Amino acid sequence: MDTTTYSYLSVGGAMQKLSFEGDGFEYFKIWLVNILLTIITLGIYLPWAKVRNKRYFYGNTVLDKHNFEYHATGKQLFFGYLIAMGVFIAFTALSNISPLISLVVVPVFLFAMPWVVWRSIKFNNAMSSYRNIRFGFEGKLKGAYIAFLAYPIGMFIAFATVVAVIIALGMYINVAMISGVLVSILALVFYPVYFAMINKVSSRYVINGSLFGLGGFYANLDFKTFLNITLKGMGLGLLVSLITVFLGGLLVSLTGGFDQLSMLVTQPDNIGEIIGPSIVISLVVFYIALFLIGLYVASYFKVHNQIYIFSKIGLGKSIRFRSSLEVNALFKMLVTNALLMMFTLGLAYPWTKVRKHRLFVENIHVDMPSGADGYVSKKQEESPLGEELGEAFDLDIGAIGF
Amino acid sequence: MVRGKYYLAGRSDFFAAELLIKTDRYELFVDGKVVDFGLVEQLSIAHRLGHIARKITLVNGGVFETGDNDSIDLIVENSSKPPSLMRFVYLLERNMAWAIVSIFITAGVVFSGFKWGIPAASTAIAHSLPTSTNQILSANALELLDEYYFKASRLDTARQEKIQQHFVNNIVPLYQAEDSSHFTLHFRLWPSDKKGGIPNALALPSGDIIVTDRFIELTQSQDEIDIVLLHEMGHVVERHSLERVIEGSAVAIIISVAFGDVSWVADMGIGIGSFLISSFYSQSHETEADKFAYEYSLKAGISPASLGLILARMEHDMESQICDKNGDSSGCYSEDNSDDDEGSISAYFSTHPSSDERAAEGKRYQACFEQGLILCPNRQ
Repeated sequence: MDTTTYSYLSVGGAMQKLSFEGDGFEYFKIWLVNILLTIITLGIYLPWAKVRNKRYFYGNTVLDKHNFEYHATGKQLFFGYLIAMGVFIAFTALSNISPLISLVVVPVFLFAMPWVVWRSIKFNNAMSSYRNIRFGFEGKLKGAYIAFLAYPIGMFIAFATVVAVIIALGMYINVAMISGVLVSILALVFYPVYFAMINKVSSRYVINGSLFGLGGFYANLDFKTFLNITLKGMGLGLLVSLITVFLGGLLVSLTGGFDQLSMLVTQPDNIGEIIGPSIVISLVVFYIALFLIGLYVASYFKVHNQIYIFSKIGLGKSIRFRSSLEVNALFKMLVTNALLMMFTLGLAYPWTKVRKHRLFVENIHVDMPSGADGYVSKKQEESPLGEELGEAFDLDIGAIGF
Repeated sequence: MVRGKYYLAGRSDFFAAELLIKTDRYELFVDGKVVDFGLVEQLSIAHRLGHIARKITLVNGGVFETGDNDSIDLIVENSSKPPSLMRFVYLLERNMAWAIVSIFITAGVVFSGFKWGIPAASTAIAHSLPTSTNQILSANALELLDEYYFKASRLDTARQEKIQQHFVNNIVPLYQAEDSSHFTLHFRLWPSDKKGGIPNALALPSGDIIVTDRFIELTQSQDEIDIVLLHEMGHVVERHSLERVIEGSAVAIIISVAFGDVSWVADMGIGIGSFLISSFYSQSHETEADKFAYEYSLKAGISPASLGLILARMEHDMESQICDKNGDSSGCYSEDNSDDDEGSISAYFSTHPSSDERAAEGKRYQACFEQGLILCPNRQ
């Protein structure tokens, strides 16, 4: 077919913003019907419900007047779903019956996890498209084991070895006190380093393996920036928590709450009679304060990571990305969503989901100097097994925020 | 004529296009020229979902995309293909009345599932598992309790021996079943700030029943000890620990399926919900254990009212520990020395608002006991 004879509709050029055209009420009805059919069919409908869900969010996400698409079918997901359900039920029941069994099962899962994540990304990308071009994933399985298993476990082993050496040395030359302090400092340093490194390694693996058609995504990520974000977020959280704990402790001790608390530990059944109204109020205030701090710190991490990662992502020769997400905006959205969920007993879930998706999506900007024309799809078929296993165990590897 | 975009197979380039349907045939135009044609039934048309743009995949792999969903629906309806199930799903989704009906059906099914479905299923599962499951469940449990909570009993050995003998000779033989669990009585001190410790009696799935020193001190008759031991045996016989495990797993699985991708923000609300659900289940376990105790107490000539009496006294003992500590009696129950049985029974159960039923059962069995009945007929 001679394409040159057709009038070309290509748009493109400057920075484009993603937009979300979904509507809370419309999604509410889809969500309800999904639940209804899932219940009526005793869960069999679930894979189809999942597809409709995903299609709704992908299909309403629009860039440059074209929407994204999710192509998997319920039938494709069904067998993976059956296996995942079996594994999941067996695991939950086993770990409830005996902690000993879960000691054996957990390593098996840990070892299978990178494979599940790998299949999950491959399948999900292959089932997503934009402008008739499928996404893809060419990251190697070995890379998944390095990013999701070797790094986390290796870092823990390294940490444990250093700690053991320090303790042994401390006992040998009789300075247990100093080695104790040293270990605590080391632990304090280890956590942010670990967090930042895992973040970097997993984001790098996911982004650099992803494809759009034949074009590859890439990102040159820097450990120091991740560490910087982690340290700032943790410092912020620690500082505000200390202040809150201090103020909260003052409040509780003024109301004589500590005696009541210690009674509560020995007689949890009599909770109603032990706790007076004053302690309830101060505990609730305290709990809410800690909850808000947690939420704010989580928003801080999420937003700064997202801004940094997007600033580094490129696609093909010329496509670049930018995130304009703000900590306060995310925080405000999370708080109002939590309130909405509480006051509607969960009925507002579809609206909270739409609001969250919209906030993330509408802060993503794409710079396409020459548009998305000329991309060509790569043919690929993936088994959905990994995807469903991943969903059942809630493995969130969302390096890219949506 | 439906207007839309035409993508070539596997390419991102697109052209303004128009789709024309003539009964069972279609023609696709770009710039007034036919670029593709064929039978409508060869088109693979995406299921409608909300107002997202509709994709129609052609035999050659090209894609025609349009926002004109209604026109496509017409084509689908007029085609010879049987209507898809997903078309029906879309009609449900579009209809507000159905959405409201869905809320009620969903709420009804969820409510009755949690209220009756899960307990019934877990009871069935718990009782079909071999007795050895109970042993696995409580392996090392007593050792752990001894390590973290209990101290050796300070009751004098003669008293321990007497209670032990009575339990082995008179109480355990009351319950006879083919899978007869092996009941063992243990005496322990559960220390607390106040001397005497915490009054309690607990049962492990293995059949180990533990009574604390303070509990024995508080009892005023052999009947009171016996009926509490029967209550604990009830927990073992009815396999409540196992049921609790199964119920907990079921709730966890259902919640994670229903709210697959909730953030940890909503997790908090769900956590409170599942806590309420599991306390509802444990309430019904108590009622069941009560029933077990009452039925066997009638056979053994033990006064059913003893259960309410000793529970009220244990409760009161805990209360006074708290009140003593705080040095003020506001919010504490004042000592009432009345010997009125009925008053004491309701005193205990009234502090547990959901226990009206338990109190009523206590009174019912006591009435049977006073009439000298061995079996107590259910209320009509």
